[in-house]
Amino acid sequence: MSQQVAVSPDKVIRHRVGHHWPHVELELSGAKLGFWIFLCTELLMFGGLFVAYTYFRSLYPETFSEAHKTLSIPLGTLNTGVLIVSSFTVVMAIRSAMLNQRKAMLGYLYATLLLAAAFMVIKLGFEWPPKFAKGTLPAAFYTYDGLAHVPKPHLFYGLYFVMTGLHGLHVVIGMGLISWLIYLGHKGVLYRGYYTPIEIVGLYWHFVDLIWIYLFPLFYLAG
Amino acid sequence: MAQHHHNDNPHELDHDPLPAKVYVGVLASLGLLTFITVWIAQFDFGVWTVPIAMLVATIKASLVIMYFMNLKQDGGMNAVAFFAGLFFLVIFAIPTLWDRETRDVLDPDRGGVVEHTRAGFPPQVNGTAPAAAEKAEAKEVAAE
Repeated sequence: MSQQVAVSPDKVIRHRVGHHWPHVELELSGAKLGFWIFLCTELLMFGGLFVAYTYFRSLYPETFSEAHKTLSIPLGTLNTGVLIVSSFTVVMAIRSAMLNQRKAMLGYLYATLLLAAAFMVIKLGFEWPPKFAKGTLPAAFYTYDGLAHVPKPHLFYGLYFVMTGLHGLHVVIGMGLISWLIYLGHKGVLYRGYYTPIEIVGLYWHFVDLIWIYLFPLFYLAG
Repeated sequence: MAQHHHNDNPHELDHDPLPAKVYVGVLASLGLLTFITVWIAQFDFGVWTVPIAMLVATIKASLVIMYFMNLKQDGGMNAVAFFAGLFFLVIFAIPTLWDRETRDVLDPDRGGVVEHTRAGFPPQVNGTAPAAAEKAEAKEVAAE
């Protein structure tokens, strides 16, 4: 054993593999494969929106390069940092579980939940309200007059709100999943012998991070 | 399973994690790449602006996929599933954008102009709809 594994935490509910699985390793790898396939459907859902973005951007390049200036780069960068650190805390939670470090595992999970909440507060509390006030909104809700010199600026905000909104919905769902992990952690289910739920929620959470890695430069930066 | 790991206990996992410094290193790289992508956004590379931004994003995404999502170690069918999804997305994207970019060749008069919305909709964006404009005019005339 290369690394220090703490002695089994005092109150652990030891995992018994489901009767339909011959071995816990298959249970883990089966769950992972199933989740990767689910992530493919997610990839295609977001992929359709990314293609729509590219298509409309090629139709109205000047609209995109002007409209993107209305988004806040500092807030976007801050949110990028928040999500990246939260991806790190998730892998550290898995690592802590594998080392039977339950307190550290719970600490990392709480940190992840807090960072996810921070992301939503920055988004809903600081980024969106000025847009509602100015009227830089999708389709018929668009009432802003500062972009009159470029064609169809409402398209940019349609894509912005749908794509970041769908992403934000994933963050909220992720917060629910991480809360569930915290519950399981307190219950004593997660330890060196069983951490499959953190692995799977981790895959989900990293995927949410992945989408943001592309949304951030496309909307906030690339003019 | 790419990991050939012998475990006699059918009920409990028994793996050693990667050293923490791997994850710290990935975190630091992601931070650095985020800084780079924000920093280079102030320069105008013309047609290369978006490809360069996407290149940096793809390096970041690869780090997340390989180390945080552990695809480098797990590999196997997980990688097949993921790259199949990516391939389907490419099949969707390439012909769509190919169509868009070759319209000028097929129809030199209208070129790349694609009208996706009628005049006057959404309001305030394309000016007032012809019918609404006439109504407003008629009202003004009536008021006079």
